[in-house]
Amino acid sequence: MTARRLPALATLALVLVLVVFAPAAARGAAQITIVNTDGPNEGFNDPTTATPVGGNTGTTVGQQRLIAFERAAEIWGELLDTPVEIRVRASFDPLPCTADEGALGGAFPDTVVSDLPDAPLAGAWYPSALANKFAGTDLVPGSDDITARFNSSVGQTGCLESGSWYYGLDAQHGTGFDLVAVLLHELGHGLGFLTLVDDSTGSEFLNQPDIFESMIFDETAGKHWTDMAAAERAASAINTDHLVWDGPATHAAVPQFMGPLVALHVDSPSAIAGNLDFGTAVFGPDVSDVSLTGHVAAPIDAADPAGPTTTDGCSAYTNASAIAGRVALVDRGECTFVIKATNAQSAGAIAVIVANNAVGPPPGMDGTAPGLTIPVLSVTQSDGAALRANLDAGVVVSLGVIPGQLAGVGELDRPLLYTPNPVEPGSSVSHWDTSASPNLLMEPNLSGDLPHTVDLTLPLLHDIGWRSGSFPQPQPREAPEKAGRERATREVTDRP
Amino acid sequence: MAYRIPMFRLLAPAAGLILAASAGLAFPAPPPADSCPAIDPPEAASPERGIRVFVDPATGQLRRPTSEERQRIALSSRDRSGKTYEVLVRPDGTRIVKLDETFLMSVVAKVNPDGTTSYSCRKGRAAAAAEECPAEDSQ
Repeated sequence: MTARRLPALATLALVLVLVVFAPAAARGAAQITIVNTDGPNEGFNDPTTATPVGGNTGTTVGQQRLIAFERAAEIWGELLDTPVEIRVRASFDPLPCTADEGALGGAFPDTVVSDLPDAPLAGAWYPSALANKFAGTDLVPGSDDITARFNSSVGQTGCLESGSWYYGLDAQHGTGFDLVAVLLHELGHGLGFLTLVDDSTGSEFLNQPDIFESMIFDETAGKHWTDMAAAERAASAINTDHLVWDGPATHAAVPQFMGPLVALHVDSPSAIAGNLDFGTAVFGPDVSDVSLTGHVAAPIDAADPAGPTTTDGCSAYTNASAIAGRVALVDRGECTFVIKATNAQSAGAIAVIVANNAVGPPPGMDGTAPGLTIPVLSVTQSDGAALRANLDAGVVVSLGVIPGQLAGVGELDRPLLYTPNPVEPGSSVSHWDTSASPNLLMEPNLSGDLPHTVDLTLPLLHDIGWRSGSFPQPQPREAPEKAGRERATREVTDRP
Repeated sequence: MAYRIPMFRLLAPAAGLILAASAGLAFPAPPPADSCPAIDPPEAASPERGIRVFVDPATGQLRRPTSEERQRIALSSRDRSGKTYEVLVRPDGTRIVKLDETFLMSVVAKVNPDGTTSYSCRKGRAAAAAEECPAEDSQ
């Protein structure tokens, strides 16, 4: 008895030691290990003193960076199932940057594998982490599976000077760049959320398809990308609103993650009738709860210090009686979105449309306005100009949910992939479409309102082979946070 | 720079075919995808750089590839842009390729004139870069 019990106790002790001292990244179903490749006193080893923030207990900048990386690895690790360690080769370096633009960070699968006997799809490229799962062993021992490189210069002179990294683990990043959210996005790419197809030429990597590509379906052509020639794929990559993800797990999960389709429609005059792309505000009523139809009218306000033009809506309207009961159309700029919305409501408007003052997508609008009861929308500069040019003819718009339709999906409720025209290398195809609602982790314009969850991305990874019976079910977001047809770049300020 | 295990050197005896278009048995660090200097210094060159090795899939022995095998290797390791990748083919037919920063997916932030911030995702180190290269960190 004694002779048998001693090894058992020793084993128990060993188990306890392992449980106590195992790295955080190893607690999940998959062990994702962060391989720190930085040198002394740089990146993850930066000794600069830092104050713990948002649950990140690190006391140096380097420690906080590593803890944030480990948190992102832990989130993914708990959702994936593989017996093989996933190694993320990671560094923080000064990446190319200017005062107002720069890379926050990036990642890619370090190695890809094809013709693996255990892989579900023969002759297709798989990221090595997934191929290792199929093989049940590390196919390239000692190699890393994902390379991740992040920018250590953010917030310093000459690099995104007005911003800074937020290393907290609670998603309360304010105007900072949420490292954990960016990491979750980038690790998603490294785990397989990308196609190796050249989205400009349509050519496959080394003349072989990849597993992501095999589930890309063009609703117009009625073909998967793997059934197309390169030229067809190149054309398909800019087939806006008609390229979808055709994977069963993702399709089944769409109702959990996609909110209702909300449309801003110009009813008349017929010359400009149709749906408009629009942005929404984080303040005021949720547009998915609103249903209205109304005439559009242009407020006039004083050209004063609050706003130097008479169309910016920054001061009390001088023609309030002409706005009451109508949809106020004002120009972006000079004062906050909240001020514009408040002035519109004070004049009796039933909604306010903010026309962008520069070329680009309709902006998302941040701010706080507890007393605001009217919806606030933004449109592009060109759409705003078209509305304004037709006011004399009488412009009527409708805003509301389109019954039975979800945002961000194609004809058969399969989620849309991002297909702008012209193609945007890196953004096109290897992301969800920006019309998804609520915002999704793998949209190209990373949203400022993302919680630290992986939403519809996890079912997609299931589709390419990460699935397992032991996976926890993905948890949907609690409430939609933007409208269905929104194509706006999400912005994180209350400035105009 | 962290220690890096020359993994393919370990695998070489079991490998069916190793193609090294311009390097040896281990995959070297990829060259930078743009004109900016390497962030971390590249690894020291392998002593086998420049060697092209063929391992017979059946016997595991080194031998000279046939012309047909050389042609197949050349075709399968070059993408449409003419860029060459090293392909490891194991005896069971599994093909393994190390990617480079052409496939880097980067989140890029841009602060707009009105103070708002826009995000986009770009592919490749060059595409993600702004015009100026940064100074190296002092380390």
